[in-house]
Amino acid sequence: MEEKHLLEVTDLNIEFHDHLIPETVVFDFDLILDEGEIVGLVGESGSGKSMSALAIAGLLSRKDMKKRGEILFEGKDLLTCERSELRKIQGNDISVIFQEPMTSLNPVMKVGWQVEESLRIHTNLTKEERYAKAIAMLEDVELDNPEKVYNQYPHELSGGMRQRVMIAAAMICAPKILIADEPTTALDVTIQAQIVDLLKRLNKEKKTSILFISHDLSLIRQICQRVLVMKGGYIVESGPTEQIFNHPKEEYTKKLISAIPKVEPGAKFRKKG
Amino acid sequence: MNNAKKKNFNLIVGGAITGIILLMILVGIFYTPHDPNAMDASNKFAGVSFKHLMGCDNFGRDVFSRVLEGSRTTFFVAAGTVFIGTFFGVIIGALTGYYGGVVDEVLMRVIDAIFAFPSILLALVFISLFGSGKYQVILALGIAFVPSFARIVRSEFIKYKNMDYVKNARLQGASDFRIMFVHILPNTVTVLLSAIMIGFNNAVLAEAGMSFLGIGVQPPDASLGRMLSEAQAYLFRAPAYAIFPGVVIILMVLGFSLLGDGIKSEE
Repeated sequence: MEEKHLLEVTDLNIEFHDHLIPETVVFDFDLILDEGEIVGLVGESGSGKSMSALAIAGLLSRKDMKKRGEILFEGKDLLTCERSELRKIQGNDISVIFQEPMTSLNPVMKVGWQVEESLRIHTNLTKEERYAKAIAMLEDVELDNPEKVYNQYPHELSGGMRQRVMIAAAMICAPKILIADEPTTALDVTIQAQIVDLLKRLNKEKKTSILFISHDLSLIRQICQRVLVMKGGYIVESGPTEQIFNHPKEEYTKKLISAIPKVEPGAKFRKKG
Repeated sequence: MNNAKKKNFNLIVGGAITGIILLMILVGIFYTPHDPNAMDASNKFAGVSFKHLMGCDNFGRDVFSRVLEGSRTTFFVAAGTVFIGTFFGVIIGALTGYYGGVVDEVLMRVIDAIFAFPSILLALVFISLFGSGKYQVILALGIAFVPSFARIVRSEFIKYKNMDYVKNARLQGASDFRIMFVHILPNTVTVLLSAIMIGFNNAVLAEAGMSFLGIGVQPPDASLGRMLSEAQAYLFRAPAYAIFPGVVIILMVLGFSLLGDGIKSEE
């Protein structure tokens, strides 16, 4: 008997048609995501990882590109379903957080308003209920003084705080899938660790599956159960994280792993003088 | 915290002038020293006096009272024009800028066609279609003003539609309509506001020009342009008759353009 998966992507091909010569950026992309799972998607810049993620999120325009294959979310094909149908899923069942927290928030809107936006679109809650939910969510992403943050504008927040706000806005409808497109790349290392911990905790508490896109292998190793390695539009290797890290089959994966900067446990700092 | 901020003189002076003009218009609604349309042959071309602050015109009507009423008419026409221009300009600009492609091509070519005519000339054409009068002038000038607003709004929408936060709104499941008017439009407010100020000035001048040509507001109603055109025949006998409405037009335009500059530099 075949098991039902939360998200099943098979044979996804993405082809751009906005120039004279069509250009394919993703070939035969396969992905399975189950409830509560964190799957990593690694690869260098231009390997097609963000493109695949955007296709799953339904952000790619339908005019300029051809997409083949299917993206089944709970049995519904996101590639062929109606726009209105897709919109009901977006933000409600599938949410995305972007790499750049600086530009992902609308500068003229208050933070609270933006966190509530998904609720406003997908639910019929009253103003007070939305407020209560937004405050609870802001608290949940470990922001101090959520009532104050609620009434602030994005430029008043630091990068780490904005990314937390983004996560709050993405998680407020308790989506089943969270696509995190390099959520920590623009942040410094300590904040990075906090954000990763936060994502891990939300994953555990709310059973939200996460598709974690990154080029940082050490991060991927920390949080993902399974990894897909992409290069030049192809998935070159996939499997459980430990297996990939300990026994990489492909040359490219080996290269990626050897590129992780290591701090040797026995290394001593040279003393002066 | 505030002392580091430079004082915005454009905003202050522009606001003051506009405030005075608006106060004048407001007062003019409830009170004018004389009936603006009452003729009095004995006061024909009376000079400036305490009884007639700005003198009298060729029919012995009190110019000050007529200026109060005329600036109200002019303001009303200009405001109506800008409202029509902004309303349709925003809708067309939003649709063309956001969707691009065929929608953009079709709508913008229509806009280009309107834009190809000088706005006064175009308004003349519409006046000859609709007939003359206050509301017809508003409609005619409003249509002539749509293209400039549409272009401004369109370029703003093109700038903002690929911003991450707009993508984000789309990923939250917001409809196109909601993205356009709830997420993007507030970002364009400062640009739109100064465009409105400039548009308002042009509308004041256009109304004055059309009334001057005799196709705008019809007598005996007063409008600043109408008064100027009537005063033209008596420029040497009663210069005050031409000067006062002219000065009020200048102040109105000056006030609004300073206000527009002030708002722009606040950003």
